[in-house]
Amino acid sequence: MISSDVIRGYNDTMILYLLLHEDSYGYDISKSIKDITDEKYIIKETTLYSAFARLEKNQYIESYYGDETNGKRRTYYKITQEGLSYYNEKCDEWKITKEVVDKFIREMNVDGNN
Amino acid sequence: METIKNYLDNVFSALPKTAEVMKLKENLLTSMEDKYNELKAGGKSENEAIGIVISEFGNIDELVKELNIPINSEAKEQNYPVVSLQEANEFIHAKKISGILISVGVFLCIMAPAVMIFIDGIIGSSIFEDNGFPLKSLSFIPFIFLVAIAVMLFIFSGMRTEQYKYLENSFKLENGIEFLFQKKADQFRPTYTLGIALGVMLCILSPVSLVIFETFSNDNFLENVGVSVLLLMIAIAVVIFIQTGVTMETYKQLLQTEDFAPSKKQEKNNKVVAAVGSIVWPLTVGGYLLWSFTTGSWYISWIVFPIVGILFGGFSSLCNILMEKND
Repeated sequence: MISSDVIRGYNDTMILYLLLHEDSYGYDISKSIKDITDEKYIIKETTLYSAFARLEKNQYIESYYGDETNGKRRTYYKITQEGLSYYNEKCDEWKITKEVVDKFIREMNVDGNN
Repeated sequence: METIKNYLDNVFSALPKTAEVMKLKENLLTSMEDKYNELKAGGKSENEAIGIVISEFGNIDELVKELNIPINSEAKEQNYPVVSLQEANEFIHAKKISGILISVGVFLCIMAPAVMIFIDGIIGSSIFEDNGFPLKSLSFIPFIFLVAIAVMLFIFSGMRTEQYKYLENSFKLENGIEFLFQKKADQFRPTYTLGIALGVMLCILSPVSLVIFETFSNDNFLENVGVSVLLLMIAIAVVIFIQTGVTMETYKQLLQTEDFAPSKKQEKNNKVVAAVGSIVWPLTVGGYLLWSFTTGSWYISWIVFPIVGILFGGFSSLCNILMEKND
């Protein structure tokens, strides 16, 4: 189980990635995150919606009502131009972060020798 | 499905019902229902599905922080006692009676020295003039008697409003009745203003009686009558102040405005003034009695009350100003 503290800074990145191809809605996004990560990361409902709120406030995404299905009106999210450049920034940031943190990670060999 | 709805209702009960929050709640519900349906379709039992959905909900504080939702006073107020229309009307009635008791008591307190001075005047100008101390002290009997009745009235008055003490703390008026009292308060305002004006006029005019009685006669008796009339006019003014003041205060307390707005600073401040008052006033009475009995200057010693009253009023206002500055 991934600690939510560690992954917090990258929830936005995951959501923006999923919106790159097509507009989507709450449950679809959380399901995609679960499936892509082989259920190693399950995003909490409140985490997801606070990320939506934050992204929308920063104008990285836009929301609109989708067509009504089975009496339900879903809110769809769409990535903006700003959102796209923010996503690219986050990707670069992660590459560096990964590089830096990796320098301090001790690889455990299968046979137990370091 | 109903369980999820109830769960969300519960989680959101402390939040304000703004459009933004309601939309968020709706989105969360849709999302959770989607998840629930898929889990059910995947072969989970209803209980399992609900368990998973709720365990993956997270923490509402996260959303509250992100959206800057004010955890509002409305949510806190839900714990406040709710006051019904009947209760509020009973409170108004109790305050009215207690106001009458207080104003009669205060009236008697002011009239006590007035009556004494009047009787002194009669005795002083009568043929008994030289009969000495025992007769002179007769005037003290009605004084004590009137003050005793006044004290009794004060105690009754306090008892009458005792059961409404909880209205001094924060409370919530039953839905929709607030405007009723707002209307009553607005309707009463002209009367209140008129009462204050009348009272102030009486106070200003009261010394005129002294001048009149002194000009038209240099008789000792009539001079005493002048003082008595002055006190009577002040007593009437004070009764008007108390009557109108208590009524207005009752509405303010019910509407929780001005002095009754929920604020702890005010409370603290009032405590200081009340503490000082509880020392100053008995001392004043003691000083008054001591001065009067030892020197026999009853005709002038009453002056300590207005003097201390004005000084105390000044002190109280000063406290208020200093407290406000500290805010």
